[in-house]
Amino acid sequence: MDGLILLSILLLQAVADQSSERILRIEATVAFSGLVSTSSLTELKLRAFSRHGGELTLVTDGGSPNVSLEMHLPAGVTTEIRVPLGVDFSGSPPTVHASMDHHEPKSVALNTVRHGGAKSVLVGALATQLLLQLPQTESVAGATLPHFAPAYRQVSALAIDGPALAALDEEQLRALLQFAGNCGRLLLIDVSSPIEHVFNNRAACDGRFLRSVQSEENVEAAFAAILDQPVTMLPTDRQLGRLLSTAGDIDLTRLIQFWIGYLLVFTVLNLRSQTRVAALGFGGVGTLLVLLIWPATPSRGFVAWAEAGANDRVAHYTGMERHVAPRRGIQTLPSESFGAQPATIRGADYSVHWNSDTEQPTLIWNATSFGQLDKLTYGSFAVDSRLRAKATDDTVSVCNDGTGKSEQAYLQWRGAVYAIPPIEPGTGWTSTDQAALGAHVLRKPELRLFLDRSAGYTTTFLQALPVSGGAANARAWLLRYAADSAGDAPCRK
Amino acid sequence: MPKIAVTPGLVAIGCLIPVSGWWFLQLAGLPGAAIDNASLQAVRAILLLQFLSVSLFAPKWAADSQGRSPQRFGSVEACASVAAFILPAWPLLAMLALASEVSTGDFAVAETAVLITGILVASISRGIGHLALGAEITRLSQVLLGIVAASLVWVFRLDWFHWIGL
Repeated sequence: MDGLILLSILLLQAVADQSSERILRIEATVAFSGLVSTSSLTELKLRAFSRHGGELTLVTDGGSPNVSLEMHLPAGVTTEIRVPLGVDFSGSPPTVHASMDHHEPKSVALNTVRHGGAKSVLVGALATQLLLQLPQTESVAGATLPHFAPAYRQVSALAIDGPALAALDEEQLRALLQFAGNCGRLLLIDVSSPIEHVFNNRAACDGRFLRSVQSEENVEAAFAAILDQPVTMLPTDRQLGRLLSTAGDIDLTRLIQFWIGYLLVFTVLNLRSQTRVAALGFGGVGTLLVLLIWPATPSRGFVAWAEAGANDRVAHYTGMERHVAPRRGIQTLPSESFGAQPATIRGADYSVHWNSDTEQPTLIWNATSFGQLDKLTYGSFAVDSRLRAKATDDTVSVCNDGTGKSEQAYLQWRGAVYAIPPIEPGTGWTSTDQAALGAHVLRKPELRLFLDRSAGYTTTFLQALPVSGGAANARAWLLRYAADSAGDAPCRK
Repeated sequence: MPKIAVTPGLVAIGCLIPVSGWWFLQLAGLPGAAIDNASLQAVRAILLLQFLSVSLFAPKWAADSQGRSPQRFGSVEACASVAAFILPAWPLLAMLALASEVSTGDFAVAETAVLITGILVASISRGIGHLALGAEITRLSQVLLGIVAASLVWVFRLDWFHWIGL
């Protein structure tokens, strides 16, 4: 009898396991076979299968941020889901919990391997064979290359061979091209000329960090050459923050009401000799009130800083979007681009809630008083060179070699900054036309950063870039280095 | 009509009204990206007014306090008058700071500099008052002191702002 009961229990357990298996099967892999080095985002890929389909809920745990995702899982179809994952090294290992139709969730622990940040990854059998003996290299499966370009910040360099490159899907290839556009160290081995040409056109930093070699050549030397290149760091998020303005959405009516009320009370207190001392204290109270009621409305600002060499066809940039909460507590932000191109976010505890039915990922964050959340993005875009500087001993001329009128720009030449007006194509401007900008104008944050970043270069240009969409307080600049060309033809002017 | 005592606080309010009015007009008309520049200009205007006013009025406040407590050099009343002139502006400066993203540290340095300027001028003025120069010459010297101090503030105003970080 006891044996029968035990057998029944075992059978019921097996049936339950089978049912659970039928409800949901899930596999999770982290980009670069789980290699993580920084608290920047990496990518988590999930493959979910359910014979009967239903509403899938996924929640990550132990990450920073954590992601919650709800979507409809079709029956009998293996669905691939990619979400951003930030690994919190100080906490417990990241885990993903998945459930169908709100049944008991399954938990899958994510395998991550922390490294010191100097790891180079090798993708493909040929790349592994040729380079694995080098220090700080690791072979990873091509399938684990991320689809999100920011995930490439987890590795310092990447070498990939032709067959492995050909096996990448379109999004992985796009992310790899973006990596080259962000001055990522990339070695291509045995790739075809058309592919090499595509990468050359997308590589920023004048292509210093990109090499393409054949397997018969000295592959190790080529890899060492790109690893030896000094890194060009874009401005830090602190420097970007100084360029940012989030003061756009001010509740003017409330401010004026407050100020008039304050003036009236203060004046009355001052007119009465018995309350003159109280008037002093009222100044302090008024200040406190301002700090409590400000910001009256949520505000948002965006700034981007791009840099390119004179001959670069691609500029790489870093951008920051800042949200300032109107009050403490839970804030919700639409995050249109987060799913397509997640970004590092700093400044607040937050999670990403993504309901695929609404097709709109939302960012949910818990704001403290005057809490702010910064979203950092990186990327590259194509640029064309229009302005060229020609210098003599004591004057500098700027020519517009483009086909259209140039935008307003600034020229840095030997430490002095000039405001360059828009120039017609084929014509020029010269420094004898106007004086260098004075010290009080150079106090503008973007010009201060321009001068800092121009250190060591004789000639640089700074142009404001148009920013469409997004925050009203949106600014962007492009800095071009080494823009002088003494040997070229003079401007026609 | 009852006589209204012109106190430092009232003088301060009188200075703040035109600056705040200008700033609100700017807020009403400007796009977001330019509001921080307008706010920074308003901050500089208020600080300049404070520096000039404490320079010009501190001798008078010192003389008034000397009348009340002639034996105390650099009396607390003179310092309180300077503080009473500065404090009314703080709510407006707080709004401008938040609109211009100027750091709290820069503001603290600026207001401390105004306070020190006022106390210094008041102290020197009280020192002149202690000299046996005669009433007319004493008053003239104190007025001249205020004018010289205000002139120095005006001439070196850009350097002041640069040093303060504004």
